[in-house]
Amino acid sequence: MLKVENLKKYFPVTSGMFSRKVGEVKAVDDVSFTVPAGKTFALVGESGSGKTTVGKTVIRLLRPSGGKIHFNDTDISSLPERQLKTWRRQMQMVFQDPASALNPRRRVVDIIAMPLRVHRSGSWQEQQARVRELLDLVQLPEKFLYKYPHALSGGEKQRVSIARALALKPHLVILDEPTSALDVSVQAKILKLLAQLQDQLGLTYLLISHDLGVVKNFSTDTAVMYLGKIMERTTTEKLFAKPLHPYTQSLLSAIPVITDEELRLIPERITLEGDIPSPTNAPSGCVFHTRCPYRMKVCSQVMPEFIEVEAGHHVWCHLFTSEGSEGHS
Amino acid sequence: MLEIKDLIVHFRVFEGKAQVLNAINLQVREGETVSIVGETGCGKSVTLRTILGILPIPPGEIVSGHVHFKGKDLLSLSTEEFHPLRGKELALIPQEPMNSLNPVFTIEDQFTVLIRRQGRRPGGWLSRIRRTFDRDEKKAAREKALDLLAKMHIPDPARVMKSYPIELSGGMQQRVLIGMALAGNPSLLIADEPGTALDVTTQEQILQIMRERVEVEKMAVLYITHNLGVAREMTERIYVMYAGEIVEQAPTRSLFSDPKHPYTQGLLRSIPKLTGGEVEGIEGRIPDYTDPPPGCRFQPRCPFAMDECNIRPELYPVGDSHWVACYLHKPSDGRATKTDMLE
Repeated sequence: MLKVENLKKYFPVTSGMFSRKVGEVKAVDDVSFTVPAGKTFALVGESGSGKTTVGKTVIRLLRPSGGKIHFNDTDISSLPERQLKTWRRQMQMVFQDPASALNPRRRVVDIIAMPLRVHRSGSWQEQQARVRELLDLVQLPEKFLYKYPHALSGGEKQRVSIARALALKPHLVILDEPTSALDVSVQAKILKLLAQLQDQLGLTYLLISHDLGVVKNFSTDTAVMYLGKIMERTTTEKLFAKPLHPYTQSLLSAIPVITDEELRLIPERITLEGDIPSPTNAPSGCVFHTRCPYRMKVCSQVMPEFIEVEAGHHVWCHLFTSEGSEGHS
Repeated sequence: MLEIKDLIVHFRVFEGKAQVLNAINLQVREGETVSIVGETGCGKSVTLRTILGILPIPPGEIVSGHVHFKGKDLLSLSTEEFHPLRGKELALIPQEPMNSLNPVFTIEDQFTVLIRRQGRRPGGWLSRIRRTFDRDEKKAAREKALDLLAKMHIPDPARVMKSYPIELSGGMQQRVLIGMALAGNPSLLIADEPGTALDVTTQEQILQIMRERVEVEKMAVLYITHNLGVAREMTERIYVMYAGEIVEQAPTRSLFSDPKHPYTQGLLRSIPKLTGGEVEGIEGRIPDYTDPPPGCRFQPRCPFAMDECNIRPELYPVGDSHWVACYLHKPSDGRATKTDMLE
């Protein structure tokens, strides 16, 4: 369905009066993954790890600096803007903060009808009927049609946001932190709705999240990102049962859990030193080596290639390469 | 040490009177770590502001109730009388590190002023001028600030002192603020969602530091948080708040092993677990404070609501210092309790 190969997105850093290019921020560097149709693929990482940039690049809101994006066997990474419009009908995005993703000066009916209007889909009557259908789909009563966003609660806003994304019957929906601005009791409702919609409409999701609890319950495959690179990529089940990369382990161990059963599942607590380095001058070699508790000599020199530890479980870490095991012993 | 009794706080708003805090009762004993857990808009921050005497009045209005702290009634203190308590007895770690430091002064400027002024009355103009030029005092304050920053596990305190807030990461800013809060050795530390604006690994670092300091300094802590996981890790006792009321209070262990109030149960079921399993939310939304439902405020969203709920329930004991404000757990007086019906 969606196949991303060696995706790169670099932003130039400019300086001076003539905006001379002085450097690059490697927001996304060499990211590859496949999202099978009807499944959910999650990108997990902390702020600044480049997960949102991946999402935006995949639907071509941003032009990739390199790599390929295959969507239904067509490479859309280099298509010109004009041809993209037909593709965009099939992929939509739900944004992180519903409060700022909805135009405060438009009513719900106009917000949801906007994509239909942009893509000239049907007559006015048909559009109105579709909006009602969508509202029903996201389980909002019809009285919401003529409300403005400020009159809605966070959860209701996010439902409107989801309805808008589904207006054109897309196949792929990118969910950028769909619940991080919401309270847990509301979050649970939205997640349930999203799962239901997936079953009902056969949607494919690319979930971007920092909440590992959400990822665990929602996605089939997961990739962990750090400073623009993927650190570990496998099925969600394996990732939680047997996290291999030191970063994944520390991320898992930092979750404040609420039951003892969960505590047994997560690795022993690893508190990382320091902060995420600035992406403008990312560390050499493995980007994680400055904070890694197991760092070796080779880590600061060579960026590790991915290792397939077992079928479908890829790790980018020297602990699992031949050089690494030599250095380790 | 801190005792809040039947605190009622209203706000005057355009729609009328918002009845935000509805008779809150809360206690923090010497050296105890307690948390208030609740979702957005449940009145956590209003409670905190009332304790610290920084509630904006108007529009706020303290209708009735008491806040006792070490034998003093905080609500009746004037600004001058409150001054010696600030920082020395009560200290606050604010919620958003990015918005809580002054962007136009270096950390050193902000930190030393805080240390030098803390707990003192402003004094006359002559003494103020004299102290402005007191080099020894300045130096002592600087050293104290450096020492506190080092205790926060900041790798290079001297560099941080010279920095402006925007030059520091969120985690660093949060550490500076914790350092500032601890500067006066307060006996009660109030932490408003520490670390929630940060990433999990950074949050973990911050919580680690907090745990360490609290242990060493033996102070009482009141955590305000919406994250039950954090509350579980950091505190001995938890108050669950909903729509301006305390609905359940319990030792951390029994709250998680045996939650009694339907709201607490719903909240715990809403959190996605690593062990998997269905997550269930809570229907509906938080009530309108200008027109709250009669009786139990959770009633319109409660799956077990009954006629009795139109009268406000008291806190009923359900275990060792475990209390719940729900008729389902009213001690039976001959009649069958609803708990039996549930099972």
